[in-house]
Amino acid sequence: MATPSEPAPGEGPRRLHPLSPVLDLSGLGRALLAPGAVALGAGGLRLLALGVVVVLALQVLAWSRRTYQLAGGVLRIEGGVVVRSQQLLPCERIQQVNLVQKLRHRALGVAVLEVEGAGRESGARLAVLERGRAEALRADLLAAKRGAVGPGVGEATGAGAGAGAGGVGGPEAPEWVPTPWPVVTLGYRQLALAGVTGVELLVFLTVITTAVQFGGDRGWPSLDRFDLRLPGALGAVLVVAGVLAAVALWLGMAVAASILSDGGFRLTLVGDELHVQRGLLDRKEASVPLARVQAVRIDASAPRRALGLVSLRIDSAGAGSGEDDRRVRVPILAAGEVDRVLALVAPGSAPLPTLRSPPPVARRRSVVRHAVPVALLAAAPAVLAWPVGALALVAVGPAVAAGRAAYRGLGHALAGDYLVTRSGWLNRRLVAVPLARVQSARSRATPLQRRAGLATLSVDLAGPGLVPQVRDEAAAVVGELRAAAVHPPAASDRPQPVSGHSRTPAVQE
Amino acid sequence: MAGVVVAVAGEVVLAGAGVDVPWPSGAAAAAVALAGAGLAWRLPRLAYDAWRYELTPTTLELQRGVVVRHHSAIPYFRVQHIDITRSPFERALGLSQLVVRTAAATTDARLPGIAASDAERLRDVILARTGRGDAV
Repeated sequence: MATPSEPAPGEGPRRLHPLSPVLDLSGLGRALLAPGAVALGAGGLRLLALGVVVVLALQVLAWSRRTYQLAGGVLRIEGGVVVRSQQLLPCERIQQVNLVQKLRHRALGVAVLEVEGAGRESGARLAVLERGRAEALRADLLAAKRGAVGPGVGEATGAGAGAGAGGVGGPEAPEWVPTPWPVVTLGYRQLALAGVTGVELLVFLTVITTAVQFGGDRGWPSLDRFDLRLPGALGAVLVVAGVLAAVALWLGMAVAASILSDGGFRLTLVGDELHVQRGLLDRKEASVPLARVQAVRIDASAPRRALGLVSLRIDSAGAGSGEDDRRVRVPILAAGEVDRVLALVAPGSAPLPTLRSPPPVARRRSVVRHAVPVALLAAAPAVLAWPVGALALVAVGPAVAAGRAAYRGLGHALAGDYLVTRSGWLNRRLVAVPLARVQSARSRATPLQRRAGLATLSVDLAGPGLVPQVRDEAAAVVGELRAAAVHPPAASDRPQPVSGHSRTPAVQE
Repeated sequence: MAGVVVAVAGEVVLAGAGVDVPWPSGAAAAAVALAGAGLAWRLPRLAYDAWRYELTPTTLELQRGVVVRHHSAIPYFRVQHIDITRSPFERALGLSQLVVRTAAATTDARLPGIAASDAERLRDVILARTGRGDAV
C-alpha cells in the first residue's frame, strides 16, 4: 500500500480531514467515559487530563492509519491500529450516498460522507472530509455507479466538486452536466404545517383529553361546573389555561422541530439520481439513483387527509435507511401534487391507478377483527360490575366504525410495472412497489380468512422495514398477485389491471 | 400449556365471582391438557403433511402451515446465497435444513427436514438457475 502523505488528487489512498480525531465526538465521548470515571473516582484532574491526552493520541493514530481510495469502480477503505481492516465497496452496489453536515461541521467546512450498500454491514462512513472533497467523492461514486467511468479513472478529480454527478471523466471525454430538475421545494410555512399535522399531535391531544378527564374524575372542577363568580373557579381557569398553554407549547415545539429538521428542503432530480437537501442547522444531503428505489410510500394521517395533504417517503435498500432520519422523504405535499412527483421519482407508477377494494366479505372480517377484542375487553367490567360496568360496551360502537373505515382503506392494483397497495384507517398508507424490485412474495391465510375465502399477500423488498401488504383479498386474486409479483411481465404481455368489486380513488376517500 | 393456564384462570375467576360450575374443580384444566396432549401428538404429522416445495421453471415455491397456511414464492434470480445447516439431531437422522436467502431480510424460504443428499442437490439446482446480474 502506498504511504499517504498528501497525495495529489487521484493519486492513491487519502486520509480523512486532520480534524477528524477531534470531530468524531461520539467515539471520543465513549473513549473518555472510562478514564473520566476513574479520574473522578480518584479525584485527580491530572489523571483525567492524562486520559484525554491518551485518547486523543489513539484517535490521531487511528486517523493516521485510516485511508480511502476510489479506483476501478471500487471504494477501498483501510484502517485499524492493532487489527488492520480493509473494506471494499463496489460502486455498482451503492444504494444511497448521504452527505451530513452538523453545525460544528459547517463551521469548519467539513462533512461526513455515508455510503450505503444493501447489506447491514455493507455501508461505509467517512468522517470527516473537507466539504469540497466530500462533494467530489460523492459525484465520483455516483458516476462510477452509473458506469460512466472506466477502471482506474473513478478517483476524486476535484472537477467533480462543482460539476455535480457528471463531473467525472478523462481529459478527452465530453463533460455532461445534467440540469437539476426541481421536484419539491418546501418553505417554512409548509414545514410548520407538517409539524402541526404530524401524528404526534393526535397522541398529544389524546393524552391531554385523557388527563383532563382523569382529573375531572378525581375532583378537578369540570367545565360544566364553572362559576366565575366563585373563588373556586380559579382552579378550573388555571386548568384550562394550563392545557391551552401545553397545547400551544407542543405546537410550537412541533413547528420548531419540523423547521430545524427540514428547513431549506429541496428535492431535485439530477439525471437519473434523486438529490435531497434539508436541515436548518444540521445540513443533510442524500443521493439515491432512481434505479435503486425500492418503494415509494405515501402517508396520509387523518388531519392531513382533511387538509388534502400527504407525506411521501422514497425507500432504497441502504442499510442505514432503516433509520427514518436517513430516508429520503418529503415531509408534506399537497395530495394533488402526488401524481406529478411520482411521475418524476417513480416513472411508471403515475398517475396512481384506481384501486380495487377487497370483496364485501372482507368488510365483515375487518369489523370482527376490530370489534371482537374491544368487546372481550369490555365484557369483563360488564360482567363483574353490572350494570354500571356495561357502559364499557359502548366502546364496541367506535370499534365497529373503525373496522368499516379500515375496510374502506384497503385497496390494491397492478398498474404497469408497479404493485400499488393501500391500508389503514386513521393513518392511510399507500405504497407503490416496482415489480422489478420484489425479492419474494408470500401469502398467508388464517382459518377465519380461509372460511371467508380470503388471504393476505406480503411483498418482500431489499432493505430494512417496509413490507407492503394486500390484506383480506380473495384467495384466488392473492395467488394471481403473488405470481405477478415474482414474474414481472414484459410490456407486451402484461396482464390488464384486475377489475374490482368496487372502485375507490387512490389517495383520498 | 396456555390453554391449561386459561382454563385454570377461568375457574378462579368464576369461583371469585361466586359462580358454581357443574363440574369438579380442575376438570376443565385436565380436559384442556388432554386435548393439548392429543394435539401435540398429532401436530407434527399434520405439519409434515402440509410442507410442500416445488421448483418451478422460474421460482422456488414453498407451502406450509396447519392452522395458518403460508405460500412463498422466491424467484431464482433473487437468490443471494443458500445455507445448509445440520443440528446434531438432524445429523443423527441424516437430515438437513436448507435456507434460501435473498436481499430481503423478511423472505421466508426454509426447507427443514430434507435428506442431506437432497439438500445439496437442491442447492446446486437453485444456484445453477440464479444466473447473473444485480439482484437488488
